[in-house]
Amino acid sequence: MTSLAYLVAIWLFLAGLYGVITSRHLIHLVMCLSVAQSSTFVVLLAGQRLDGVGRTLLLLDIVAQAALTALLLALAVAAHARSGELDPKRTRVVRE
Amino acid sequence: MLTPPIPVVLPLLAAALLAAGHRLVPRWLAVLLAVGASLAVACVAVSMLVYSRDAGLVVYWFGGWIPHAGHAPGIAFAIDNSAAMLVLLASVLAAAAMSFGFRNPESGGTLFYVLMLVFLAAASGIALTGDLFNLFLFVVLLSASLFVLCAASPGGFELAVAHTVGLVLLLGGIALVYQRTAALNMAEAGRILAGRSDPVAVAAFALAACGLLVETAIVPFHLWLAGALQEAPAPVGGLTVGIVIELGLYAITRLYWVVFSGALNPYENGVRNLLVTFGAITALVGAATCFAESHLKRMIGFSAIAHAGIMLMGVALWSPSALAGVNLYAMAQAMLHAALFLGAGILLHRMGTVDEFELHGRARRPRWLAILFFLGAAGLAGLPPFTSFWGDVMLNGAAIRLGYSWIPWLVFFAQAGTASAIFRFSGRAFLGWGAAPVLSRPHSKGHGHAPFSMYASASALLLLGLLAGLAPGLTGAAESAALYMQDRAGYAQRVLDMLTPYPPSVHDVSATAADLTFALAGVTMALWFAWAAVSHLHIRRAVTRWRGFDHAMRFLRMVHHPNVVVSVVWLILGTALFGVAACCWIL
Repeated sequence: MTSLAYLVAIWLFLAGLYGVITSRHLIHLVMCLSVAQSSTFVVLLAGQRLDGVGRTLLLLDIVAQAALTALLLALAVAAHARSGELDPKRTRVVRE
Repeated sequence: MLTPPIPVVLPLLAAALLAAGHRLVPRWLAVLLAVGASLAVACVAVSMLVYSRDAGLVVYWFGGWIPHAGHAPGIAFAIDNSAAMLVLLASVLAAAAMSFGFRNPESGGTLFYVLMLVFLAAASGIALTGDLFNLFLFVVLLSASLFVLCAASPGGFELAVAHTVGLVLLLGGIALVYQRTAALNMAEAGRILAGRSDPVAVAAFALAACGLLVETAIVPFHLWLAGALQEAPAPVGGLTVGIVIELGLYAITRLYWVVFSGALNPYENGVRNLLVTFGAITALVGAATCFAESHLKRMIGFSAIAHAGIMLMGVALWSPSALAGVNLYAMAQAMLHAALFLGAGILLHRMGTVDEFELHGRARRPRWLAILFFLGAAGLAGLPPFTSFWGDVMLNGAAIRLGYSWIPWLVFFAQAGTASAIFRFSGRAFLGWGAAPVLSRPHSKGHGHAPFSMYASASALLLLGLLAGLAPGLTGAAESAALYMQDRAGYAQRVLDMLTPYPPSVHDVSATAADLTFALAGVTMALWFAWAAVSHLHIRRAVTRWRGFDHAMRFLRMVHHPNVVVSVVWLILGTALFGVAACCWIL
């Protein structure tokens, strides 16, 4: 049972990263990254350690990852404002 | 005793106050409050340094939740000499970086100082904490403040994505440790893991180390650094090259010695060889790319990467005198890189550009800036008797004793390479070495002169970084800090059982004539490299005519202007490499 949970976590992580690599849109990329982030929730849920401390860790993790996702979305908006592009391969071009 | 939480609580409190009143507080008051808070943290760090030197390790339990029968229900700050030194370094760098833009409103409004204070609090937290999940949250806080500080750079988004993936890896490692041990206190987890040989512990170490290698900017996890630095404001860049790398390295060292060293004991040689290889490749790639670069800020970034590789090799030798060398080396190179980056900020403010060719011969005055750059580069090359020289002596001595006699040569060439790039830049820009380049664009315009506060903070960092090496008893103190850091059983006894084992006996290292000659040869070679690259055109032509060199340089340049996709792909490759190596140790 536990090993199945770890497999799910690895699958989520790899699927999320595959999305990050192949993404053509910054917002889509951030969403893929949050799929990869959610693999950590599964790892924290996996064991038999879901006592008070385990639940606290899970909550704190969700809060931290949500804050990071919000920041990444803001950065995507900033990158779009700077370059006029939403394709992650082209955001390095500075608009003249 | 209530001082241990101050380095985290005070900057956060000041940041909250400034954020709440950022429309009301005038800018000078905000700067004063921010610099004052970081100087107060520096004072607390000095007191912790003195106190932990006598006591070895000072443990502070939040809310009085002390451990009972070897189980720790609460969260602890565990302060030894290395932790206190790191807090001191972070607070001095933060104070210098924040006073750098004192008279220059362009360097940021009140909210900029809020972010810098949050950054300082997170840095202190990483140094002081003795709890695994606490460490993760402080790394998140550090990364988040770094994202916003670097948001204006073209590489800001890559930095954020790379660090987020790194955080997922780090948390994966910490969660595995928690699953295995049901403990979040580092000492307790280390004690439980030590008894058995457990493949899960190897996986956890591999994940956590890969996550932290992103912070440490080790090849191939390093691609975020140069892009983020390219357009970063000088104070932000100075803090990034100065302290982020050290924090990542410190966290790896702490986690290895306190949590994993018992469980990884059978694989010690494998871990050592893997990390030394990563470090060696980083030092070479960093030095080569640094030399190939003409943009000063990127050049300093690659130099920091090369020195991060050297320090990782020192940490991974798992020997007390090598770690003592790294302690000194880290202190020196953090201050010197930060000082050079602030110097780059001064140049940018005055001339409007930091490109080597555009600046050719135009920055002859004031002389002090030229002296600052030449001294900084000489310090990076390990000029005796300054701090980095002593780091080199201890690191090289330990490497030779362990049978890695190639490490001193690699360190020699990496240091000479990075220093010669900065010598070459300074020669061109300040002294007008070489032929004047033909430029397609007109000269960019700056402000012409820079305020005194900029020179003062850059010079203060440079002098501190160089002159710390003259302090008496420094090598002995570094060695005792390293011995405390590597003593897993002693750390656990102090944290969980509240015992105080005897302090280690250490003695100072003295430099031999061979060390002095080696270091002086390094500085001379760096200067000669720089001079040859600018003026001996026939040598340069002969080298560049060799096609392999040309291809290699083009490949390095192409890789180091990445987009998000490329940097994530390299990050995955690095993690996969680490994972394959870890599987090889177990099987």
